Amino acid sequence: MTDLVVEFSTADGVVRAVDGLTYSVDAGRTLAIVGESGSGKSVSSLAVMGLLQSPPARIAGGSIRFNGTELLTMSRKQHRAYCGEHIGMVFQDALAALNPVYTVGWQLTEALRARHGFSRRQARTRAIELLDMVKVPAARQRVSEYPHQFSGGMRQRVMIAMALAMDPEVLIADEPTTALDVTVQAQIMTLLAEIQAERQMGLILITHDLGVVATVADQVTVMYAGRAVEQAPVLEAYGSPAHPYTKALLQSIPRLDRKGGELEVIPGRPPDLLAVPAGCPFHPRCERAEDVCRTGAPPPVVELPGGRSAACHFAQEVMTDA
Amino acid sequence: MPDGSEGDVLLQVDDLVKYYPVRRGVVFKRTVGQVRAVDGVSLTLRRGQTLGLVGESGSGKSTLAKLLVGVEAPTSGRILVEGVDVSGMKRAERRRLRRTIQLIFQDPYTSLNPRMSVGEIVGEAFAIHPDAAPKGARTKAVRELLDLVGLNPDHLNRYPHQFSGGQRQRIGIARALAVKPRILICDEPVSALDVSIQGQVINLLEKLQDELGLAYLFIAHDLSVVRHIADQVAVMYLGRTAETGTDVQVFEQTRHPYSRALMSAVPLPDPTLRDTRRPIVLEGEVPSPAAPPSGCRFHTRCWLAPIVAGREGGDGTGVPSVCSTVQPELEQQEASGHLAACHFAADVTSEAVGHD
Ligand SMILES: Nc1ncnc2c1ncn2[C@@H]1O[C@H](COP(=O)(O)OP(=O)(O)OP(=O)(O)O)[C@@H](O)[C@H]1O
Ligand SMILES: Nc1ncnc2c1ncn2[C@@H]1O[C@H](COP(=O)(O)OP(=O)(O)O)[C@@H](O)[C@H]1O
Ligand code: SF4
Ligand code: SF4
Ligand SMILES: [Mg+2]
Ligand SMILES: [Mg+2]
Repeated sequence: MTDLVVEFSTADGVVRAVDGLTYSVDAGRTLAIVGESGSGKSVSSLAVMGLLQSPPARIAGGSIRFNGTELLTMSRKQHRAYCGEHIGMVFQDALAALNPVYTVGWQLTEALRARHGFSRRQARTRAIELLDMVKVPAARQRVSEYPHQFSGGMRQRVMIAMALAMDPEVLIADEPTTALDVTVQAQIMTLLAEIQAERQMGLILITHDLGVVATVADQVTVMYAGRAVEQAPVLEAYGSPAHPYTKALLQSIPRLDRKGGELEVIPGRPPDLLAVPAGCPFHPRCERAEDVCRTGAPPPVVELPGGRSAACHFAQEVMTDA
Repeated sequence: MPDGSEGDVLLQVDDLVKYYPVRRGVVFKRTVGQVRAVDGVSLTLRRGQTLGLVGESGSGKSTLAKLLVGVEAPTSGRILVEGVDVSGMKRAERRRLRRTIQLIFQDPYTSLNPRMSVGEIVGEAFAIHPDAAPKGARTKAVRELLDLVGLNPDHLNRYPHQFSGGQRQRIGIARALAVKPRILICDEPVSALDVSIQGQVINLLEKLQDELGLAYLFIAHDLSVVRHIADQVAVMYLGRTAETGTDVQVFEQTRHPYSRALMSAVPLPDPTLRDTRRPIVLEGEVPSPAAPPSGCRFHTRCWLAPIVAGREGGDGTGVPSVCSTVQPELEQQEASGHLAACHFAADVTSEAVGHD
């Protein structure tokens, strides 16, 4: 993805939900995209999948290439078909993403029947295999059940199975465990890691949980107000964050392994995208902000050693500060 | 206070039970069973203290909260508020209790009436409890409350949709504080909020506790948040307490296999620990509280039971018969105030699982 820009036209004006986002993911690697709600994580992945409703959405710029093939110049239909073959997606809300009136098995194999001419019987066999793969117990019986008969964790497994039905090379998982208990989250993350290793699949994991990122990701992209403010390998991003927002986020979360004093919080809240502050969008909340941060264009992306980058006038200093 | 035994007891719960009937049939509903949402919970909450309540979804946390604020009546057991048994009280009598105990909801988006202004929402409590503030002084009281929770008092004529999630949660807190309660029951008060906003609300709750001497029952999925805020912790599983003690006892000297599994599953925000820490992945999901397993309710998912069974001979797949037949009671561990309900509590910390 290079310089992606996505806008929505709303009654109050044009909202720029993604504003120049660039990232890449390699086979067998995990890229985590973190950010608070509304920072553009979901919109950018819907753009990859060709799933943005237009209008109100408009892709106002940029490029999304998969193994060199440009997706954004394709027709909507071509785009969807291409993703069907190469890129799978697991949605935030599994219940909403599943159709309540069809059995789980039927939904799992819709694409196989439609595009690959599987018979009902072949499809059922394949559906059972897929449920087995994501470790749904008693797959043979459960394949004929409806989504509401599945627990939240099991529904998320079904979503993963569905995304894997076409053997994608890249999987986008949008907050796949946000609504689940930590115990079930651990089951799902373990499952994803196994499948990824087995297939050398690229994984784009969207989350707001910095613990999950630290546990599974190779690379992390931190988003704020539609932009990537920092991109780095996980060890470096956590060890020596180069953007004040990343640094503040890491300091503001309570930790299980120690009892801290008062939490260091980030004052204020994420900007309204209809009125993004001039200069650096983070400046009203940044403890490091200086005059140069408050006016003009947003700070440019600074390339840093080790294949990292950050969009801050003082990235170098922030990174080397203790 | 290492064993939490200082300070006045504000709330004492003894062997509290709440069963919901399971009904079948469309016209003639028959009761075919019971959901044991809360099944024998005891706890003590002291002035100025925070008791953190954790456990998977469906373990009975919210039901317990509803019993404590009097929204639901218990099937059996006692709730003592400042020494007075309120469990058998009629609705009207419970109102008085409501003044002492207030609830803060999880969802700042749906818990506020969208057609009422902030001033009306916060001031509403004065209509129900007229003695909380004299009539002429109510607007002033509302402004003070808004100020106390960090909102601009001049915004009292605004409506909930004009506020962000974190601000709405502050409105909910101001409303709860209006009647000068001594106990706040917080059911997932920060779960719906963004990371950067969560911290603001947590700090506010801690500040209010210091200033007003409030006691909190703090329910949360997020164990890290509970670790941060709680002095005492109770871990619930299928309507019962698995383990309870001070935060250090429960988090560092863990004596129940379920607590240990829960903690191991929390991903720590430190990538350098990645290779040394493995979650104890519990198989399956929480069984239905309508048909809890025999003996120890955790025996169908317990990681320790098969280890113990293996050690005592056998093929290492079964569980000791005591686990599947005898319900373990909460028992005192080494340190006073630390209780765990496991037949093999002494083995929990020594078994090396969850680490490489
Ligand atoms: N009114 C009711 N009728 C029947 N069953 C109920 C009722 N309220 C709760 N239950 C059941 O009681 C059990 C405990 O529910 P409760 O809401 O207390 O769980 P919880 O620990 O708060 O879970 P969560 O973490 O998901 O909020 C669940 O199995 C639930 O389905
Ligand atoms: N259909 C839509 N119409 C208008 N604005 C939208 C629409 N969908 C998303 N947005 C806006 O785009 C921004 C980014 O949203 P999203 O990508 O969903 O955030 P998140 O990072 O939480 O996934 C938000 O400000 C959101 O309100
Ligand atoms: S550019 Fe300025 S305001 Fe923005 S993050 Fe860097 S120091 Fe803070
Ligand atoms: S009593 Fe047995 S089954 Fe229950 S937690 Fe202890 S070891 Fe596990
Ligand atoms: Mg999203
Ligand atoms: Mg609940």
